[in-house]
Order: sequence, then C-alpha cells, then structure tokens
Amino acid sequence: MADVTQREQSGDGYGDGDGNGNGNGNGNGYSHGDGYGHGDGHGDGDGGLRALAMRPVLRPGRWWAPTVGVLALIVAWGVAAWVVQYHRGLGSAGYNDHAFWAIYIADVVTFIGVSYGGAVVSAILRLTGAEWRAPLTRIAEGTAVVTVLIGGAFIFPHLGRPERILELIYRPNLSSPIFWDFVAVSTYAFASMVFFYLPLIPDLADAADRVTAAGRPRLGRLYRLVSWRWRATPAQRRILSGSVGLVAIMIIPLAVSVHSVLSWAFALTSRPWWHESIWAPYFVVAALYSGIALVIVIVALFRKLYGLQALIGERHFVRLGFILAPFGAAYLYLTLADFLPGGYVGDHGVAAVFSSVLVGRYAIGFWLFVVGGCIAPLLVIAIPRLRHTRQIVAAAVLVDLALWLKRMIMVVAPANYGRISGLFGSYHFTWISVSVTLAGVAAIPLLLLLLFRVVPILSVAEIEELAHAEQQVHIPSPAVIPAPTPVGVNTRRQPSDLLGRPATFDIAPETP
Amino acid sequence: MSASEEPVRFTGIRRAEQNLVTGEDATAGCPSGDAGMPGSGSGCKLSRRSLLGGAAAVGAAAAASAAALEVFGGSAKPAAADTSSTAGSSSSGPAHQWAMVLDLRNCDGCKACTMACQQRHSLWPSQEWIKVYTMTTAAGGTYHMARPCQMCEDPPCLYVCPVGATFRTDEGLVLVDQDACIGCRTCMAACPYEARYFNWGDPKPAAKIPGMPRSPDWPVPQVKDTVGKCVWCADRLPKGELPACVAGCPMGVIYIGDLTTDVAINGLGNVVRLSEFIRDNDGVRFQEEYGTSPRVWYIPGHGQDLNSDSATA
Amino acid sequence: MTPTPRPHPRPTARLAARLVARLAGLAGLTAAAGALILAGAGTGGGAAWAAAATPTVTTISVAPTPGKAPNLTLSATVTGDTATPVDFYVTTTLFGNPQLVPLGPATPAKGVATLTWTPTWTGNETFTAAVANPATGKIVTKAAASYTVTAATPGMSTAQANTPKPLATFGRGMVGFLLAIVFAIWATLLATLWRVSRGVAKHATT
Repeated sequence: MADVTQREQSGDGYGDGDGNGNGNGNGNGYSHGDGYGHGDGHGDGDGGLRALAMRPVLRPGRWWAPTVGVLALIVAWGVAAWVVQYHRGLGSAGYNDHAFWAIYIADVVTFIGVSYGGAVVSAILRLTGAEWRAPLTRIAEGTAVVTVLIGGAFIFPHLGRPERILELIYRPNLSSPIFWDFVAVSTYAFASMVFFYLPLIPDLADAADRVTAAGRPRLGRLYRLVSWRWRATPAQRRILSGSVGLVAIMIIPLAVSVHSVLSWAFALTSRPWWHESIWAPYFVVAALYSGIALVIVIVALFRKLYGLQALIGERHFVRLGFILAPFGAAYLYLTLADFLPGGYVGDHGVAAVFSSVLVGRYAIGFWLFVVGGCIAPLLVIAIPRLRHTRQIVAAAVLVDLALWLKRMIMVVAPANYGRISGLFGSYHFTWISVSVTLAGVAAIPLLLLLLFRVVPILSVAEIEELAHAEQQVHIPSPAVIPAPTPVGVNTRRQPSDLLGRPATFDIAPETP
Repeated sequence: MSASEEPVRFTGIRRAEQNLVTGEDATAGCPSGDAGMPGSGSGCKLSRRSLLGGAAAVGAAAAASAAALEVFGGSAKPAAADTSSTAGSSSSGPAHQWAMVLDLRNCDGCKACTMACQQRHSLWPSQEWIKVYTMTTAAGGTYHMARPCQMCEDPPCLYVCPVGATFRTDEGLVLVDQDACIGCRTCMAACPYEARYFNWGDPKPAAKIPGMPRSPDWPVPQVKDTVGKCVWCADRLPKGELPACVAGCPMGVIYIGDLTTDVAINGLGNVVRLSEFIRDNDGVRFQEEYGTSPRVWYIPGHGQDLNSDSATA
Repeated sequence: MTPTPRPHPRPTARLAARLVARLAGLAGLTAAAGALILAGAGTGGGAAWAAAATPTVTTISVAPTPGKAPNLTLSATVTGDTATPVDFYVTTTLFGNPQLVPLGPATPAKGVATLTWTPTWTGNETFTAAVANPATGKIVTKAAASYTVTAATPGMSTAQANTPKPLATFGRGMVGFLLAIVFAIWATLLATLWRVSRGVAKHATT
C-alpha cells in the first residue's frame, strides 16, 4: 500500500509538471483512496476510484452550493433579460433590419458546435480503443448533452415568436433548412443523451448501494431503476458494449449532419459569404475544434473542482491538444479556402463583405480570431516548452472565445450588408443580448455541476475494464506487443497516473 | 395562434393550391421551371399519406391535427404551370396573374409611393415596403429605383419559411400570415431584394376599420416580432382598385398589370398592353441571376425630362 | 440596370404625348420626335387636316381570323383622309372604370384598316377604332362595336425564362429519403434503449 501511494504521488508530480500547483489543495481527492490504484483492486467496491467518482454526488464540498447559487443567479438574470426582450420586442436585443441575425444565432451555432467535441472525443476514442480516454468520457459526454440543450434553448431568444415554435411540428415546411435544423438538432440531442446514459448503467448499478448507505435512499432507488439489474454478467456486458459501440458510430455522422444543416440555414440563402459550398465542412470542423477546446476547459475545471489530478494528468491535456491542433490547422486552411475564390474574383457583394472582414470594419475581430484562436493555440501545442496543462487550457479558452467571435462575424457581416444599396448596417450589443449570452455560458458549468450531483463523474466501469483488459493482454501475449512491461515491476520511474500501472501512450490492445 | 387553424382569412384572393409543406417548387419540390419540363408536373406531387408518414417519422404525433391536414393537403401546381394551363381558356384557373412595371424614365425619386404605402398600412418610417433607392452608375450618373416586393414566381423566402407562414396565392402574390410567423427571419436572409421588414418592437398603431380584420392581404396593423412585407395591396386588386403606391405616384412610374389579360395601368390612367410595353421598352427584371423569376419589370431610365429633351431637339 | 436616356413625356405633356406614342406603336424616340416635329412644323403636317380631308371612322367589325383561333380580325372602315393610322382599342374594367386598352395602330388600305388581335380574356367586349389628330393627340373620330369573345390565350408567361434548379427536381423523393433516414435513426436509438433495458434485466443472472 505504501508503495502504491508513493507511486501515486510521483505520478501526481508528473501530472502537474507545469508547476502551477493546481493539485496542491486537492490532495485529499485521492490520498484516502489508497486501494484504488492497486493492480488487483478493481473488484474493490469501496475503492478510492469509486469514492472519487461519487464524491461530487455525495460530498461535493462546501464551495458547491454557493457556486451553484451564483451560477443560477447569472442564468436567472439572463432568463429575466429574455423575458424583458420578449415584452419589448427583438429590437431590444440590438436587432434591426440590417442586422436581422446576430448574437443569438451565433450562440446557437457556438453552443451546438461545442457539443460535438464532447461527443467526438468520447465516440472516436471509444471506437479506436484509446485507453487513456477512460477518465474523460463521462465529463465529455456530459458536456455534449448539456451544451446541445443550451444551444437548442438559444433558439427561443432568437425567435421573435417563440410561443409558436410548435408550428414546426404541426405545420412544417419540409423545404425549409430551419425545419431540418430542428429535426437534426433534436435527433442529435436525443442520441447524445442515449450516448451519455448507456455507459452510465454499470456505474449506477455499482453505486446504488453506496448512495443508499450514504443516506440518499431515493437516489439509490433511482439508480437501481435505471440500471436494469445490472450485475456485469458476460451477457450483459456483451449487450451493453455492442449498444454503446453502435451509438458511438451513429453519433459521429449525426453530429456531422447537425453542423451541416446548421450551416445550410445560412448557405441556402443567396447572401454573399453565406452562400458558400464550403460552409458545411467549415461548420463541422469549427464544431470539432471549439468542442474539443471546450472539453479541455471543462475537464480542467472539474479536475480541479473534484480533485481528479490522480486520474487526469497532463498527458491527457497534451493528447487532447494533439487532437485539437489538426482541427485548428484545418480550420485555418478552410478559412483561407473560404476567402480566396470570392476575394480573388471580386463578385460585387462577396467582395464588399470580404473587404469588410479582412480589412474593414470587422477586421479587428477577424484577425484576433486568426491570431488568438488559431495561430496561438497551434503554437502552444507545437512548442514543447509551452505544451503544459495550464497553457493548453488557456489556449482552449482562447479557441472558444475566438470561435464565438468568428461566428459573430460570419453571421453579422453578411446580414449587415445591404445587397441593393451596398451599404453596411450595424448591430449593437445591448444589456439584454449580453445577459442572455452570458447566462448560456454560465449554464454550462451550472448544468454540469447539477448533473454530476446525481451521476458519477467518472466512468468507473470503463476505467477498470480498460485496466483489466490491458493486463490480460500484456501477460499472455508478449510476442504480440514488443517489450511489454510486466505489471507491478518497477514502474516507479515511469509516468504513471492511472491505476498505478505503467502509462502507455500507445493505443490500447484490442480486448480479446 | 388561433390563426394557425385558419391560416388564411382572405377577403378576395384565393389561396394557391400549392403545397406549402415542401414549397413544392422549392428545393424539395418542383421548380417553376417545371412548366417547361414535359412530364415532370405529375412527379412533384407529395401525397398526403406519405407526408403524414414522414411527419410521424420525426416523432410529430401532433401532425394529425386538422391544421396540419390543411397544410399538407392540396395539389402541387406550380403557379407558372398555372399560367400555361390556362391556355385556350382563361376562364379556368386563376383569372389574373399580377405583375408590375416600373418606368424609371419618369421616376424622380420623390418617395410619394413609399409614403402612400406607409400611410395605408400604418408602418413606421423605417418600414419601407416600397423603397426608393438612389443608384449611381459607373459613369457617375444617378437614377432612382423603387423596389416593391418582386412577387417572385420562385420565391426564396417562401422556400425557407419553416412553418409555411409565407405562401403564394394562385394569382402570384407572395404573402405572409403574420398570425403564423414564428419570427425566425430566415426569409429576410433569403430575399435577394431585401424586401422584408421585421417588426422589432410594437407596430405603429392603426385605426381599426370595421369589416377589415387583419389578414395576409390586409396586414394592418402589423404584428410585433413577425415579418412584414409589401403585399401589392392585395385587398384592393380584386376590387379593381389600384395599390396605394400605384395610385400615389404622381409621375405614373408604377404600372400594376395582369399577365393573363396582358393589361397594365398606372396611377395617371395610362393603360398599356403589358407584354408590348415591356418588350418595346426593353423592360428588365431585377437581379435575374438569382433565378427568382420576379413579377416586376423595370424600364431603365433616370427621371429625364422629356420636355427639355424635346425643347433642344 | 444602365439608365439609357429615353425621352418620355412629363405629366404635363403626357395626355398628348401618350396618344402620340401610341400612334407610333410605342416605338419610342423616333416616333415621338417625329410627331413632335410634325406638331412643331405646324404648317406642313397640319395642312393635311384641312376640313375636307378629316378622316371619319364609319364602322368597326370584329370576326374570327380564319384558321388562327382564337385570333380576331378587327376591321375599321375609314373615309376622308386614309393616310393617318387607325388605333384599335378594347375596353377593360380590370381596374375599375372602363378603360381603353390600346391594341395597336393600322394604316388603312383602300379605306379599310385591319388588325389581328389575340384575345387575352373572354366575355362580351367593346372594341373601338379611332383616329387621333397627330398634332393635338385628340381623338377626332371613332366607332365602337360589341363582340363576344369566346376563346382566349394568356397574354404573357414568364415560365420560359426560368432555368430549373437541378436539386429541386428530386422533390418528393429527396424529402421522403431524408425522412426515412431520420425515422431509422430514431428507431435505432429507441430500439437500442429497449434492447439494453430488456437484455440487461434478462441476463441479470449468469
């Protein structure tokens, strides 16, 4: 035990190698769970891993209630602002005939966009069998669910007559991209909830007794109800893993469809810069880029809040950064590809809009996006000296802010452009539109804090299964995997932050 | 919202027998160009059954309401096909296909049309349903161009409306049911002519006229947080009255006409044969490149004074 | 739209110029200018309107054009001056009060001016033949007749100008296909939930 604990601490030292000390105050997050990292400890019902996973549910800490209260106040303020807007009319949010679409549709695109990151981190890593994903999947999937719901909710302030939204169901116009937006977003939201729920089943079954014992019998009953008598029998495992795999496959094209259809709400009009064939893939890449960035931010936030440093170390952020980087580069490339043809030929409206974006009234925002949202994050990830947790998280925050800014420009510049007069109108922020948008931002941590108040924040079963599977493969088939490191043999010098086993930077072997 | 069950309360114009669900002649339906494509007319009908099945597929259990049937129903007849289908006898099919000609040779940009329209429809000054643009040519010359709704035969605004609040009558008028509009403003994005104006706040109060409740052809007063647009005074046309802008133009620039009977008239009482007038004066349609097939023709000009021209001649 | 200078009467001159333009078949500059020169010359063209030479339209008759239904042949008999074109009109009430729709001019040959017109609406219509004084634009003589038009063809169609949008022709098939996909996705998700719930509960014991 002493040995294990020591290793954990050395692993922690590695995980916080950026030296920002962000793990210092959270030592109790893992130190009491002295058994969870043990090679044979995964059958241990009271292991530290479980304590860690259930801590937000059972003992979230004193900060929890005030934090939730503050966030809820921000959200309530935003809702109140929306009510005021509803009574005064959309003009109170800064809209006018020359800025008929602006902040709220940019928010819709942004929030639904970031939802993709959570889904794809989980789904793609699951499908490719990347073992290091295990401690991240629950947070990533939760982020996907929460953000798609918030993004969908932003339709309400966007609409002038939100109370008529049910017309989309009982008198839809099937040729409208907006109708298909509605179909695609609701389908994706449902799929992301299923994708969140299925891997939850073993953990809920596992935690039912624990929460009952901890004095939350009703939660325990709920866990038992929705976990369908899960006992981890081989047949149950087979069914569940097949289903999770199926939904993981489905959610990738679903998310592609969502962001494509969102882009077509713009691209199916003849407005300059919106009417671009590149916009569908452009939106998909933007969604992945901003979404992965948000996963980095949320994971960092909850790692700190709930003391998950032992499980989520710097290598997770570095790897997420490695996934983030190609999407950043791709987005930069697509931006060039988007601007070059229209800017080169100089079709009247396109030229006017592109000039306004590249050198005109929106240029400051656009170049802030290019430098702060694409180049700077790429440099952080590309330069080893910068490639540390704190810098990567800062870069991810930058990416999300910059992409919101980019979407604002993408929405507002063509909407502002008067297609007959050639003159630009303008959009002005008002306290209402800013309040509503900030409420959406605050709603992400709020809903996640509430979500992890009722479900375990870690996918315990998955973490254990992966650790277990790796052992099984490593031992019997040394010929397949060159130079295997026997489990439990002198791993002290190696970076180790997951279950006390040697860190493997390769993709995990297939489960037999 | 009660209007969603009775979406059209028309005083005089029949609603088009056109499938608003698919837009039919939109991306999901037949283009109006179908009229020129033999045999394609029958292929664009969406049966009520298949659509209801589809609605169920999206989980729209409520689709079975009577209102939905109304929207789903109807035969799919692009209006352009209507025009040609009346060949041989104009007594069948719609009696009229409204059109406009704007003779810019006479337009001096006085905006009397805009004011007449705003007064009749109780609009705020910024809601210029017919808007007069002052255009500059490459050579530095200027001309004035009034832009009413172009009443496209292939209207992009209709296709993108998610709830079918925008529709087209069988006489070729594109109208908005403001009691169904959800205020998404996609139509404003889609319209290449920027002919749509949103009610960003309370609409301008209007005196109630007995016997004239608000309807798509008489959208007065406007509805807050919904979109409005030029309707060519659709309530007047069936009564043989001229739209406010036509009657209000002191220069006789704006002609309202009918493609079927081939007659057009301006506010000064000048009657012309529409096709001949357009042909002989090189009438053009605005922004043809968008394929919207507008029902408005412009005769280029810049408000020149013929008297002074002839004086020098 | 490039503004081309085109002479056109101001409102003050319109009433006269309208008929002048009509007289010339709306041919624009040439005709209008020509007419104005006529008017300006005064002694030349005006001389043709000496009292003895004043034209009189005595009758107008309407008959189907043989072999070219639904066309109608309008014939006006003119006496006196037969060099001035005869204008034909049909009356419409489309915009309120009866108004004359110009059908075009025809120069009399052997005292009879004929014009072929393709009717654009049906009904009992009033046809008018008239001659206007080129100098003043005022109608000096006219004759009217009623005729019941039984067949008509729409005057103008805009459909031929449209290029069909390629994706639009998919129409029903595309919508059905997309809805089927959405249906399949929802069905698969729901079936997955059902399968997991039933399967897990069923295999709770090994």
